[in-house]
Amino acid sequence: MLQTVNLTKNYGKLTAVNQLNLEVKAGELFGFLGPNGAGKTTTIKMMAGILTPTQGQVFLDGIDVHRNPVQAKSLLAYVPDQPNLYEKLSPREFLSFIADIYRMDRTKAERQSSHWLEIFNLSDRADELMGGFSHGMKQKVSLIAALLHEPKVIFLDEPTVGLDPGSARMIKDLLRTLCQKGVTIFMSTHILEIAERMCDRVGIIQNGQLLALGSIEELRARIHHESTDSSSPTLEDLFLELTGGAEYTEISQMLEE
Amino acid sequence: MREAALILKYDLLAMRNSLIKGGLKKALPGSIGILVTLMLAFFIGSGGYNMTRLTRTISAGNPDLMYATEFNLMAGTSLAIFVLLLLAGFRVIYQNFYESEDLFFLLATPLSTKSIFGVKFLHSFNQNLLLLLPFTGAFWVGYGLGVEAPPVYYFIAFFTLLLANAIFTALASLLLLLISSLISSQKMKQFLTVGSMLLILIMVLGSQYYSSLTMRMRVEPDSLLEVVAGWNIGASLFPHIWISKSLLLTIHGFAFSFVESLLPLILLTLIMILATLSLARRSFISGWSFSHDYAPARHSNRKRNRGIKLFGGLGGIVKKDLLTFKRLPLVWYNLLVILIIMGFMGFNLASNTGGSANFTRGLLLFMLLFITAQMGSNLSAYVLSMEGSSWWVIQQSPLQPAALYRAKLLSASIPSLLNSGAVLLVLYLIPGVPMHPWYFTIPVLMLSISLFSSLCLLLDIYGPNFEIGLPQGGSSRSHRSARSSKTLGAMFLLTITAGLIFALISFSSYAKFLPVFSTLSPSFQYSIGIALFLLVVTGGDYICYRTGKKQLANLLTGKNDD
Repeated sequence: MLQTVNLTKNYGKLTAVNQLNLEVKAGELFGFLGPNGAGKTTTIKMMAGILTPTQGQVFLDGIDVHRNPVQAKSLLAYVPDQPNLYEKLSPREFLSFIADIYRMDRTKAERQSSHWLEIFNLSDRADELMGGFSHGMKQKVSLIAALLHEPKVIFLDEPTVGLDPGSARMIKDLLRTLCQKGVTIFMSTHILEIAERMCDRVGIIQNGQLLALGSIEELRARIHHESTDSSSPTLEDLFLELTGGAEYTEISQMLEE
Repeated sequence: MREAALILKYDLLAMRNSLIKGGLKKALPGSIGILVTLMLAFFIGSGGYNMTRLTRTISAGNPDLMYATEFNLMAGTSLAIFVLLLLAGFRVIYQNFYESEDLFFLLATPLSTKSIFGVKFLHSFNQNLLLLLPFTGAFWVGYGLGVEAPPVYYFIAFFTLLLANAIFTALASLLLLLISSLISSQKMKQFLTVGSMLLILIMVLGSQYYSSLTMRMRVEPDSLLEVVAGWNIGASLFPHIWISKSLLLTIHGFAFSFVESLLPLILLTLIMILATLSLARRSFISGWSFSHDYAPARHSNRKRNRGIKLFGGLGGIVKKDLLTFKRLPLVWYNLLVILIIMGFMGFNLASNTGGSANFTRGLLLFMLLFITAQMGSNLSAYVLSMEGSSWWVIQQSPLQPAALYRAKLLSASIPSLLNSGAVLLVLYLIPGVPMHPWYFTIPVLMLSISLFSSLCLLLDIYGPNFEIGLPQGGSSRSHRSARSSKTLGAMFLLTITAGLIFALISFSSYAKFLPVFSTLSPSFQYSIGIALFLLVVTGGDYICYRTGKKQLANLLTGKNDD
């Protein structure tokens, strides 16, 4: 469903993403992990067709995202880490705008909007201007906007940041349900516990390069094989091992002493 | 003091970095803004000089009248300082005190509130001074040159301007400190917006009423001077009188003393600053915290929105943009002011039957074009930037660049069409206003608006600033500077275009002076003008569409985000 071929992005002399090759199947929930500044957001933006790569291609359901952006974008939805929305619009007006853009049937769009607003506990505030909304509420509205037109692929950049535990849990359940219905989800996250519990496969990126790719079990087996420690390693162990963060554990131990 | 100097040092460092590292592309709009401001200062300064010379020539035989007139003029310009600052200075101070992004950081550090407030006060003071210099400052320089004032006059004038600015900034700060601890940020913003708009409206109404009175008077220089001298603005003891007396301290013929001019001004400035600092130490943080409380306004438009059905993505964007425009006070304010100005102008022209009707018709059409252009620069120049930080929503949508261009062009045109439509209605409703027939004026205005909107849109497509967003958005120093440059740039471009359109439409009126065209019949000359107008409008629209569409495609795919 989603494929990147030698995807590269340079910002001047800095290579943010370097020769990234990935393939995500339909109905798969893919977790994209990496430390700050690793190139996660840049990759997602290129996949969503809102940033032109320096080199390489992105294919979405066989469509070259950068050659046929309009066709590709009609199949995808993107939720950024900072869900900045129109402050002078209410959620209902914003969703009506989204429905117009995707040329949805008006009655169906209204029914869907009301349904999702209800689920995300936003019905009572659906007619207030979004200027006064908290980060979490805006995040919910942008998620509803992403779901409204029933995309085949959803790109989520840190989807649970700013959400209360109840909403975060609901989103986790929702994402799993969507995957069961065949929707592909490509999600970046800092919360390793989410990736460990939810994702079918994960990719770990650092300095724009893909360091590891596979299911949690495969990655666990890989580190287990390389390590002399007999206990089963967690995704956090693997992450720190690959991204050079193991030194933080040592610093933490030193501080405790 | 050391703490304030420390904050200032880093502020200056940030300013230096933005100047050095911004590059030529970023420096260009700012440079245009400075150039336009300098030109404005020159015009106001030379106006002051000419007015002074005229006064001295007319009243050469009556020195008492001359001094009374000059004193009243200076008192008037001193009052203008406070009016100018009331219009724009309040907002500057508010933004510095309560919307500066660095306050979140600074107030969390162990720096004293007094130092932080002091730096913000200084920033407000500087910005207000920059506002005053091209207006009042330039006029005072013109006056000084007009009366051949000694060099010390210019020093005193600058010092007086500093004192006047400090008094206003301190007084406004005191008021804001008091108000902010009582009402929330949203209400404060509404209060400031409505307050400053109301003030402008009163000024517009007042000036129009005065001009309609003077148009009915027989204007003779002596009687006009007597009217100005009779204003008697200096009858009371107010700071603007101390300012005028300070300015005239060194001018020959005026006998004011230091004790009745500069001294009370200096004392008042010191008292105001000390009072402000004292109040700020106690209430700045609490006021700042309260100003960030948000009181959301409920909108019960659920039922209405359900009924709206528009076609496809294009309609969606236009609908969203119009909803946003509808919620901007600037839009309604623009409409109100323009209706009043054009209404009064039409009324005055209708009641003054003297002069050529053809000339009046042309003048009204030019005014219509000019005002439409000014309105356009206020709103249409932001029609893409208004997406602001939500630009990602448009970027990720399956929109063709051409469709987006058309939608944005429509969004840019509709407010101007509605505004000029309302103005036309008023002008046609006033009996006796010499207007071109509606079947001429309406198409000319519509076509002109299409070109104005295309140019504004193209300008915004090539230089979008999603950080500013809406015409009144963005609170940082760089946002304000970018906003001013953008508006001034658009205003400049559209004013030239309005002039060109008017020149083409009225081609027949001056064609007889042109060698090649003078032999042609009037109807042929008229046809040439109209044909050229149509060519310029359609050609301009087409070029904007072609180039704008291409650049929009780049923006949508983030091709320029390197």
